[in-house]
Amino acid sequence: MENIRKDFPVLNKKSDKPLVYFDNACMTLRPVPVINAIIRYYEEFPACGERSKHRLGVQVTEEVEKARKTMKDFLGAKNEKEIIFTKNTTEGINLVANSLGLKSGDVVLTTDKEHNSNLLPWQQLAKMGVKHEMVKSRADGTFDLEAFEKRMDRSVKLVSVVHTSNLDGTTVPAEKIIKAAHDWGALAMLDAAQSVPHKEVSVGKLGVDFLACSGHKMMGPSGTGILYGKYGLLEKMGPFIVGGGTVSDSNYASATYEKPPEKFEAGLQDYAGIIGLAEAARYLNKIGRKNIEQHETELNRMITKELLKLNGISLIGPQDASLRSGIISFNVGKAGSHEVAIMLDRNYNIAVRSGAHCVHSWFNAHGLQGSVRASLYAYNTKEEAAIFLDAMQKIAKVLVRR
Amino acid sequence: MVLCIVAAIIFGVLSIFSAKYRPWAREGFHCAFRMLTFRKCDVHLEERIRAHITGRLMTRSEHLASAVYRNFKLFSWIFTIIFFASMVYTGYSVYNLAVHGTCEPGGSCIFVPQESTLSSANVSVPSSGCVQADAPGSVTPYFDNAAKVQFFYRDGCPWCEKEKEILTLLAKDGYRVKPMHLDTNPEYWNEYNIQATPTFIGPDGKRVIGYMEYMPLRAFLDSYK
Repeated sequence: MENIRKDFPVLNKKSDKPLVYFDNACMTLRPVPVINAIIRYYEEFPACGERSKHRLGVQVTEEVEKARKTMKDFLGAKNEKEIIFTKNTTEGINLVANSLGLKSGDVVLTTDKEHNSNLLPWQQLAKMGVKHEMVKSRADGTFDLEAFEKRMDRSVKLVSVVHTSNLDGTTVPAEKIIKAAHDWGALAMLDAAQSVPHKEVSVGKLGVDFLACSGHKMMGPSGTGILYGKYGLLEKMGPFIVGGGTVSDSNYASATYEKPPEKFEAGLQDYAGIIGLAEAARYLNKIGRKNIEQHETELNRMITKELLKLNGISLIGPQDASLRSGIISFNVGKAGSHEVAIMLDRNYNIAVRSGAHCVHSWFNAHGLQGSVRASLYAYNTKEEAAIFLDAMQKIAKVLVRR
Repeated sequence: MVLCIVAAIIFGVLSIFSAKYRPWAREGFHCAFRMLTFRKCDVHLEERIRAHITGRLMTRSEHLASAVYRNFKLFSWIFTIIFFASMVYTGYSVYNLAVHGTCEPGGSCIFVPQESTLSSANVSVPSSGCVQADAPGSVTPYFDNAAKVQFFYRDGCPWCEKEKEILTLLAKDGYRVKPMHLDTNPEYWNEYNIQATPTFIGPDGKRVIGYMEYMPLRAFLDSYK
């Protein structure tokens, strides 16, 4: 794991205070193979895919389809036609929300810790009569399976939950949730933006109907993402964004839509991004996501243990680090989260996220402004954790009244 | 919150000269506007300013950083009050400069360099004057070598010229002053301890330094009739 750091140019810049990058839940760093894959597209075959019949165009099509197969294997899907390339997780969820054909009175069930991307689409549908309901998490932030099972009935048509929370790092019991949803005839979708990059997730094993994730959170290019959907469901769904590439024929009045996945991939795609994303998946496979999960948990344990010793630190989510993936979300006394983040950045060159992390709804409901969030990944080290802890000790000393 | 208003003004002025400050100015105005419309500032400008200042101080002294951080509200109020007080004072000075030709009429300024010495000599400083030397002047109707009040003046001193206009008006009512031309008699500077022109010295030694309007000068001359 230590050896991979040499693959990340930004980590190897010479500096008095080397960068400690702890904002991986927002955006991960990219290794050289991913950067090279992007460059390769622009240098060697920068052409249209799926359309042009010249050799460059054909090569783009082949590379994209190869990438689709890589992503199919990466997610444990059965059929590469179930892999739709999107801009990000947000687009994937919006696609399902708009194309699933939910009707007035149908219930969409989520948790109370959803990212805006898995909240706002349902708020929009609510204007057309679709009901959006939430299952409240337990006091420690973990998923309340009992409350969820109690709420389930035939009115629920879709259960759409965050797999691993970007707020506190807790992971929901996806298998049980999906089984309960199916038992009641509902579909299940996972917002897997924070889970797929950090642990092994197999849509086949989970039996999930839809799963959305982002490339930029898994060492892939920004502006790339995947929506997995069961082929039978995708076939029945209407298109979302329409235009070039989604139809086989059209006249002035109507059009004949392609089969999935092309039906959902409107306009020219980010071919370089897609090829880079597949390279990121291969890179992660080489490291092994089990190893990444273990590594992050170990670092999280170390950081949590020492951080909680400091004066005025309040942790969001369960105290047990092993339940929080690679995320440490906390506040320092009454200090604003941005203040802590700015001081970490300016004084120690440590990058963390601050604010509401796009989960404003949860913070508003809990009367909090936000939190400081340190989020880890495969390339982070114990030495970096020690630098972070040392910085936090000094900052807490200044900001917290004893 | 109050810092947002100060930030809006300071960054607003700086952004005239440098585009670097424009986003900050925009945020300052946004924040100030929200504050003035009783809404919460949503760009965390003050929080960020506080973090930057505390962070910088931390590298020097953790105690100092901690003290500034904890009393930041107090410091920002003091800073804001000082800022606005100096703005008002500057505005007042600009007004005075436009109307009276000096930034500080009646106070200590460049035109009256040794105020402390003069105030101890029982003099009032009602207006402005000049300290530069100049060429000889001309004979005028308000001059009388037998007059009780001495008028110290120089040529090329704009305040002396303005004073002469007042003296011309007063001459019609029979008022006269004794001409004490400093350019032809430079020894007067030391002899009479002249600090600035125009200066009037009464027979009792009472002196008025600087330009006087019609009524005060008339009253001053009346007191020796």
